[in-house]
Amino acid sequence: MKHTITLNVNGQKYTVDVEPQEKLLDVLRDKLDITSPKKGCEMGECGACTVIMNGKAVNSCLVLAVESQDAVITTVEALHADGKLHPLQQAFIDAGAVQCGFCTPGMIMSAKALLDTNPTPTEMEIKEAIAGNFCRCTGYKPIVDAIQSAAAVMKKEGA
Amino acid sequence: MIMSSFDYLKPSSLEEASKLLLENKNSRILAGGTDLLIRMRGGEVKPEKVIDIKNIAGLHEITWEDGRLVLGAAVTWTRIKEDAKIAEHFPALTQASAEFGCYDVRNRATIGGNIANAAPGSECGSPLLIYNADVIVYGPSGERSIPIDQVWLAPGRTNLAEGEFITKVSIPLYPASTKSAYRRISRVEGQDLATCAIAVMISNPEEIAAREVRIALSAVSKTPMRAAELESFLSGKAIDGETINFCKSWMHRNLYPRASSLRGTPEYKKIVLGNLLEDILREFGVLAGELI
Amino acid sequence: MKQAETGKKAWRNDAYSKVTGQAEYCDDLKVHGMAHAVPVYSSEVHAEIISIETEEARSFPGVLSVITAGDIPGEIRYGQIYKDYHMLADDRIRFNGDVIAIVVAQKREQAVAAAKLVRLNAKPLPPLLDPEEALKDGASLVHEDHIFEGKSCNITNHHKIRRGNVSAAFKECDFVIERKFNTQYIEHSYLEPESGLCIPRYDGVMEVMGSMQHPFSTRRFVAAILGAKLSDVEVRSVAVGGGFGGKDDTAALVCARAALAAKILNKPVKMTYDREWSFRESYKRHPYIIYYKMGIKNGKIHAAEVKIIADSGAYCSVTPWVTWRSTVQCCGPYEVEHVHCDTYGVYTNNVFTGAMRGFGSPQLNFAIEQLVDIAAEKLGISPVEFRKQNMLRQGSTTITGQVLDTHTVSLDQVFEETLKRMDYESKLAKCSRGRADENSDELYGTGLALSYRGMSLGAEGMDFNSAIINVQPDGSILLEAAIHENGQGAESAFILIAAGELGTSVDRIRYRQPSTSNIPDGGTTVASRGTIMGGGAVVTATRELKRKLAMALCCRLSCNPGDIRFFNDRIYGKTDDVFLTYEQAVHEMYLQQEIPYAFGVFKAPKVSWDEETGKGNAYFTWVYGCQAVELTVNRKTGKVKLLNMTAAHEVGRAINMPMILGQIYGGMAMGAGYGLMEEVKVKDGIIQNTNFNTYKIPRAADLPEMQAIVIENGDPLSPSGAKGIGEPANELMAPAIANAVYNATGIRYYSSPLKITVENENNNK
Repeated sequence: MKHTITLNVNGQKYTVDVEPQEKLLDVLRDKLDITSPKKGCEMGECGACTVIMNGKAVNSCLVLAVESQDAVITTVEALHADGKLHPLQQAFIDAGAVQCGFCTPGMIMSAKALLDTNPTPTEMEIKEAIAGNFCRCTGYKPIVDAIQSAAAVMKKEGA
Repeated sequence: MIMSSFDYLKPSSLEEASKLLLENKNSRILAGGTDLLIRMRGGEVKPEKVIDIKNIAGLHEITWEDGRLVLGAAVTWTRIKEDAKIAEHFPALTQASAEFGCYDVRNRATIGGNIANAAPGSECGSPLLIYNADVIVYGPSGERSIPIDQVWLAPGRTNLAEGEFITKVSIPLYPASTKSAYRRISRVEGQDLATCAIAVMISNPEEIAAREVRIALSAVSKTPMRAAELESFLSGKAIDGETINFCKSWMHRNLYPRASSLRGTPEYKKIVLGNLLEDILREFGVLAGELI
Repeated sequence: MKQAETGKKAWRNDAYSKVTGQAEYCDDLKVHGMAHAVPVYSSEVHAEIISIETEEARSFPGVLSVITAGDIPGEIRYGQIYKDYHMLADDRIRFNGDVIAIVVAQKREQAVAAAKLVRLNAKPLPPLLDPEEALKDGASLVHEDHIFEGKSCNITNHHKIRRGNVSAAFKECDFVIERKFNTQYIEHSYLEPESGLCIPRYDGVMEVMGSMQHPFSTRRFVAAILGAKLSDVEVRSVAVGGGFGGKDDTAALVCARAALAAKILNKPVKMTYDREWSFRESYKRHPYIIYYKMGIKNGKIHAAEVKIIADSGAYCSVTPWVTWRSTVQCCGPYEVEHVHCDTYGVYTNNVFTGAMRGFGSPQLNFAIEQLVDIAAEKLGISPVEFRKQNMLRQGSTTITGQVLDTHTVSLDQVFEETLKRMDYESKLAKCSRGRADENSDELYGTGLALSYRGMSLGAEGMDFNSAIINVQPDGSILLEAAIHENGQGAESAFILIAAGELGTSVDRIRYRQPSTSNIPDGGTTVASRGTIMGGGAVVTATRELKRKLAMALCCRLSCNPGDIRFFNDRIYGKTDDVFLTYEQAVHEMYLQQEIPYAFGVFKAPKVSWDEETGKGNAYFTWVYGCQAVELTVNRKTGKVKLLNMTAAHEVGRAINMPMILGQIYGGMAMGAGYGLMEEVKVKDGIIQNTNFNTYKIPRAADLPEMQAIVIENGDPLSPSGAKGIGEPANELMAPAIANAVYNATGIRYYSSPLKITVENENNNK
């Protein structure tokens, strides 16, 4: 039984037909061509598919697409919508937090969800916030550094 | 990718949900989905109907009424973790919430779902057991309450009747002097199932004669379990090195963890649970005298 | 010595596209009319195939084809060294990850559903799972047609070192330590599973895009399965989500099977692996059994007798190369007079094993660096002192007879820097050694490990690389080298090297999207050889370009060719007021009918090896590293808490410092996983943990503060001065942890990962 759902992704409203067994991740990637959320494990373990759904970071592989009726979804594509990089994106570049890049979109979304609610996180809070996101390249240190420096930049810009 | 097809249903009332459950023998309740979707992907469960209860009013509430904390079944672990009042009254539950999954998973996973999965090492298991929680279910004959120690039958199996589903968890408040804690061991920090876990509660810690001790263990049996024999052994008496050693040897004699676990050997779990119990009792300040 | 400055902003050519989500990995690509292929496995571990029934699967809705070995137009069997891997199983199932068929359908879910309908009729055979059993005479044969040294057996290779006379030497020793070590299977855990997209092109070429770390190896596999010429296959690069050595054979096989389907159906076919398939089929790090006998005389390691057995699993892959490095480095960075080493690779019916970051050294280092600590303790001296008495220095001779005099031997530098940064010796004195403070259950320990590592392939194989630099009419520059970007930052390093040589900004240089049809095969991107070999070729090409530019422009700049200078993004004559922009320079060249284009080759300096004696100059240069760790072990729970990890590595010349630091941090993290938590569990030949819910790799919260010290000693034999860092960073943390755990608990663990036991107080009573 197909469902027609309407959802807002990155500020754009989409109406799309989905089968119940389709996951949000599949619909974003295959039907809306938003490919920054990656498929790494499909078990909610690796975090490569992390998106922000109604203000909360979630694994889009653990959400049925039909559950996202009326949802507001943000992926990393939206962060530089005006052509200017988000402080997190710039900080990831500057801190060397990007190597293979497969974790990067999910990692940035987890970081954004954290900073949206906690603009001045401690190192431990950052590590906890990205505990659901694997990175096999960097040992996480440059990523934690990047999130810290983005927080500082955002605080300054906001002030 | 989920290979089996199913219908997605989203009832807006308890009655409707129960009716759907009853009408469809092969159906599953969907709350957070962090466990169900994984099992459906793995083909372990192939429901024909998936009944999403998140649209039902009241299941998202956290309320304090008549000396009890009532958590709606669809309350997420993030909300439990961030609730200061829960931390004040039910520290073991808050400690469990901090260990539960990771940030992303806690944002979806629910208390009701965690109970319904009936996993031997479920995070909610030991805390709810020591607090004598009641699980409120709704079904064809209306609402009923099941004491938590009667909810789980075996891995993945609960005591719910056909057409019934979990709507709330109700936990009695305890006097302020009551102490409780949860400890678990896992292989990695952040997002790992418990290798084993323990929750302990002590009422009247200051008055030895009136002291009541409750102990619950996870991931050592088919379901999370109360250690009744240990509880009566420890209740109402002074606890010292000798007592602790009895507890440790009790673990050895009475626990039979699954040998095939990828997470820890039976021997390891038994020793560690004894050590964690000792740690908690020491932290509570009820351990007298020096230990060997 | 120059100690590098850290704290510089990072630069990568692909960082912008990766932080904005624009970078496309193979599975992100869609092509019109594309079909989806999936593999079919069987439940068998070892079995004789009687028949494979595909009718039911073929009739499943949406299924376009079910392909088995009989449909292969080219070679069924292929491999990097031995052609022993049947790309689709033909006669036998040799391990549980063998693919018996591929199902192609319009939609991926249709293919997955239909795959369950393929039936295998097979006669189960007893599996051979113990490598030591497999070595014995009379063991059943994994490959009946395999012959080694004239006889049918399961041995893939036997490497030897015969130095001095060990049996006589042991008699002279003050004491001898004998230990057995076991290391585990681990999974690379690249975050992106394997994927390949193959498109039959209008010109008859099969175009391949995929997640791989060696496009040329992929091209050989694809050409073999299709029965095509190498020129009929073009492998193009897309962003790769990590490799760590793991995206060679299996990644190439995935592309080859997709190409086979594309050829048969004459339409684009994508094959993307689920994590479970990747775990099940892809090769792992070799588990080793190491028998080690170390003799000490007058405080020196006098003799070592080593027997190494590496489980190659069902296929050979690169086992002979992996185990060769283990052999060459079997005594660690120490001078040892008498060495007898026998290293065997052996076939079993387990999952096959191959290249993984470290390539045969992490296993040996786990043994050696613990043995060195054991020896020091027996001598009653500090492990620091013992290492200083034994370590390789400038002009030392290695166990293969190579004299280390062509580069700066910086072992003492990395060691001293680590000791200083950690305040190691005072921390060593504070270790618990099994006794906690009264008020704590935490046992404190610190440990370290040292290594040296031969750079690039050494005598494993032919070692050379090429680069092309091509200045465009507007002065912009296209650069490429025959090294592959796996995510490590190879392209960025080459741009930085070329920009440094040409005195231009990095913005002037674009890295050309690589293709196997652009540039000659430069060998695989393994062995930490990317920067040293590819960078060497880039330097050669840029110098050739500069020579051409100088010859053509000297008249215009009124000077001799030798006077021309390249800096400030311009080309200058003798004085700073006489210059040309790159655009002007190209215009001038064109007027002279000269093309501003250069091809450069870097050939590795000569190495040597004698298979019978293990003598030779195994590698043309070496790097040196030291890693240390502080940790606590909870005596009540056995939980290890890492407090600090510190590394010092000599890298030759540093090209892109933030990326070097990233390699070091990532290497330490992966090493910590190897030491403490990672293990592919195999039961009766079947992998038990096939996704990240049961295979645990370190998460952010598992890792402590990390410090990295980078030491630069430009290498005269490397044109760019650079050496490498990828693998050295990943070969030391596990033994450092093992030593620290010993210093904390007083208990030695001879198997990785360390399974820390807890004190059993009941038994004490």
